Amino acid sequence: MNVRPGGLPQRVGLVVFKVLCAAPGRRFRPSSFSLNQSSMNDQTWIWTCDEEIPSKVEAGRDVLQTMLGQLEAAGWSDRDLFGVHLSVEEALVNAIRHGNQLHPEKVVRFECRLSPDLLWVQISDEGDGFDPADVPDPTDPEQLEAPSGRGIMLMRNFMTRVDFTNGGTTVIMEKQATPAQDSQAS
Amino acid sequence: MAAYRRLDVNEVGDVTVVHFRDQKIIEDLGIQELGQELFQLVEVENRRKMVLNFSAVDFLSSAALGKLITLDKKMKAKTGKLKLCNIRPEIYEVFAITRLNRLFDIKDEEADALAAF
Repeated sequence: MNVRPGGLPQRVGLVVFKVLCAAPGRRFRPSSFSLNQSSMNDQTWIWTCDEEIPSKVEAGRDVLQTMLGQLEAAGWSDRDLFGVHLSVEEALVNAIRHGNQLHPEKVVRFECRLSPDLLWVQISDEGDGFDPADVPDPTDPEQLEAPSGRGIMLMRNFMTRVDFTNGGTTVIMEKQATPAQDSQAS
Repeated sequence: MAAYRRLDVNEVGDVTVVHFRDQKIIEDLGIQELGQELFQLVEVENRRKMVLNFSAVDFLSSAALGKLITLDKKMKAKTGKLKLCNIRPEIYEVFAITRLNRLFDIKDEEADALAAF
């Protein structure tokens, strides 16, 4: 697994990332990274990863578990861990099942950066994309008994920020760690 | 009674009490099998009063919600009653966010659920 534990200084990490993104033959554009760079400049990353995952629903679980282990080691609350777990699980399933449609030659790119109190995740697929505005509100009475369509709503509720870019083929999520006193109170 | 891989099924009076064996109910980790076993209770074994006890479950995804909704529909189609209980707060929040706490009859404890039939 191409997971890099430990602390790359932020500037070095950025340079490495830009070089990686500039490498020929990469199938994914790093456009969203620059979109979020301003909000990320103050962060000191304690863990990062950049993985390409085959289009099998269970394939993202290793990197997801590794990421959760890093959050736990950084002292994130159980509630935050639950919300991140659920949101990333939903986003990966969306990318693999709905985006790439389980196509064996398509991959999902999973990028993640963790500071002591901020998690940034970007998940990109090679599908046709979608418009999140076209997804019906699952809480509408007419939709309440539909067996699917709740993943995005859960992501938006449990994460601090969820944005879709690149025509819906990329989702960027951020989670700000809940301060300890708030976490105990909830 | 059929053998179940994903469920523990017991009778309390005329109520069927179901405990999940999986701690995590996630897409493709046996969730199809889980759904089939739940549906079998209603469609093949004709259970009409059922409690789903989530005490062992610490995580579920939206795919699991889909199975529960389908089970609820099947139960209602046969004029049965379904109740859920022992849901930990984080999972209850999933039901609340999606407003499925309005669709399902959710009780705190199994005794409360049994008493509600």
